[in-house]
Amino acid sequence: MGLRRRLILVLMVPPILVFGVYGVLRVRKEQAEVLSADRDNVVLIAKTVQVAVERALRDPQTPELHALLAEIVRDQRTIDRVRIFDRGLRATVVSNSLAVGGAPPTDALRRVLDTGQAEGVSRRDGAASVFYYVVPLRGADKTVVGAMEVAHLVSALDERLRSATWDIILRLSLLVASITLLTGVVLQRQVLRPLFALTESIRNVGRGDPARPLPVERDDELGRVAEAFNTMAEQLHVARRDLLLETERTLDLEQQLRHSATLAVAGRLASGLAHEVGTPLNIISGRAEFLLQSLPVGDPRRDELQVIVDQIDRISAMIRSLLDTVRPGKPDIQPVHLESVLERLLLLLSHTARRHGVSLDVAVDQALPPVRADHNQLQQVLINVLMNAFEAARPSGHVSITAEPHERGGSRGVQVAVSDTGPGIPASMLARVFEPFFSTKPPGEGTGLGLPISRDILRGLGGDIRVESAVDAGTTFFIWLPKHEHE
Amino acid sequence: MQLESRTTPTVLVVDDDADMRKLLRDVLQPNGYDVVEAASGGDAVRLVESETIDVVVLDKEMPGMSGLDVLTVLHRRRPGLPVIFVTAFGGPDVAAESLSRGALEYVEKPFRLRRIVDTIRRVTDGRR
Repeated sequence: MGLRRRLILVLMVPPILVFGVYGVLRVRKEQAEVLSADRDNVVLIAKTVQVAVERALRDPQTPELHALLAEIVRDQRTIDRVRIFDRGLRATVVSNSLAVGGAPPTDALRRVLDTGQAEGVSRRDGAASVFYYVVPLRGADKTVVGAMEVAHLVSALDERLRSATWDIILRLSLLVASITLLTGVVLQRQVLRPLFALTESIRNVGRGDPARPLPVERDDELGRVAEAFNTMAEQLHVARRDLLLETERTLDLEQQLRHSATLAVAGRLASGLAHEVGTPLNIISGRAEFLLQSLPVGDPRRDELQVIVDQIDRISAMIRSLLDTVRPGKPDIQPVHLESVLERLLLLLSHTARRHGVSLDVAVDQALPPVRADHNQLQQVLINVLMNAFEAARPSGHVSITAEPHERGGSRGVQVAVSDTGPGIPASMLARVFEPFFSTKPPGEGTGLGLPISRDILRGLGGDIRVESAVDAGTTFFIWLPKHEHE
Repeated sequence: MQLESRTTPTVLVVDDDADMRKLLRDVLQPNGYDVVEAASGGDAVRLVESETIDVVVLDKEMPGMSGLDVLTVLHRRRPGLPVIFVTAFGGPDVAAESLSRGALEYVEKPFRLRRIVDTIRRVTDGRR
């Protein structure tokens, strides 16, 4: 049930009850008043008629008495019939005939004849109710010679009562209708319309549209709701924007990291190849030069040999230029705080961990000394090792990271241990994990250079990396870096 | 006579590639050098002990003892012995590293024959 219907119902039931009860009481009272006024009227007329009839009886002209009574009944709306009885209870004069109430009120007539006191009595006759008023008729000597009965049909009253009832019903209906209308209008304007606007705005915010602020011109509960909603929408908007920015920054950084990892791999491939081909190239061009020197000037074969020498020069220049592009710059050795590097990295990688379905826990000693390292290189090593751990632990494993002060060969430093609950590495493969181009991952997924590059980087920084693993017991990589000494 | 015999300097060529060693021998001998060959770092260290070597041409990439390790050992045992350090596309890092470990000159492979002969001559002339 809607708010509107419920409110109208709640507002309407008490007035209907109150007015209904009031109506019933009012009709009853009206009825009593009408009855009582009618009787008073009947009594009054009866007493007047009594005087006239007594006088007429002393002057015995009976036919005229009948005409008098008939005329009175015609003139008086409250009197429907008059009958005169003698002491033997015989009706001597009857003004007119009446459809109901024919039987005389014998008991009342008898009492009136005995006591000489007037008496009223009500009697039902079928659907009608008849009020009889009986007065004694006295002769010249004041003795009771008969009785006169004045009858009044109460059913005539019903018409007036019915109209009073209708009046009340009409008023009640008008009241109900106006309450309904008024409540509806007020509710629509004051409550429902602002609520619809609020609902619409909430939908918009839900869809991620920027919410138009709701008007806050009202100083009531709805005004405060609108104000609170506006504040919330603004906060949501800001939070959403911050989140988007943060996500973009994270993606950018991830891309940079991936890019530098790719460059490192390319550099390593290029320099590996260059070292391999350097000596053969040297032998070819050397031999060509050697022959060139042994031939006399003008020998046509000299040109052929010169081509070989020149082309080898060209290849060498190309390789040197390629190496210049991909060769990593000189490491920027600085005191590096591992806890902040780890904190930042995990912020980035926690998403990756979740994507792999891997849970993470990190325990970093709060009193770590700064280590001697290149920030970017160290980050690259940690990403390599962490990504390996995530891949090993998926789809529902666990990776734990600890960092603590650690002494190695008398040198102080920091050890970072990265453990995964993955399948572990068989002993036969364990010795080869740092070999270039050796990978346990499916073809196409690993370059087999991540760990060798990491080891090169760490050795270049005066640190090292080692691994412990057993089949079904997970793998732990230990990275050690020397403490940064003040120079 | 003794002085004359001293005018033929002996070059120790250290390289694991036989063709490379032969190339240097073929180039250096006509230029007035005696050439002794070593195929590994270990051989090189032994030959420096047993032979009269005037200058060493030492390659970096070798199985076992690397050129840089040999350089360190030679510099410790014969501090005055001139070593020309050679490596394939080594780059500035290797150049700096070899010089800091006691090499007198650094030449990158592939080199022109004139370049290596000139370098050896400059070293031997400087010592004379």
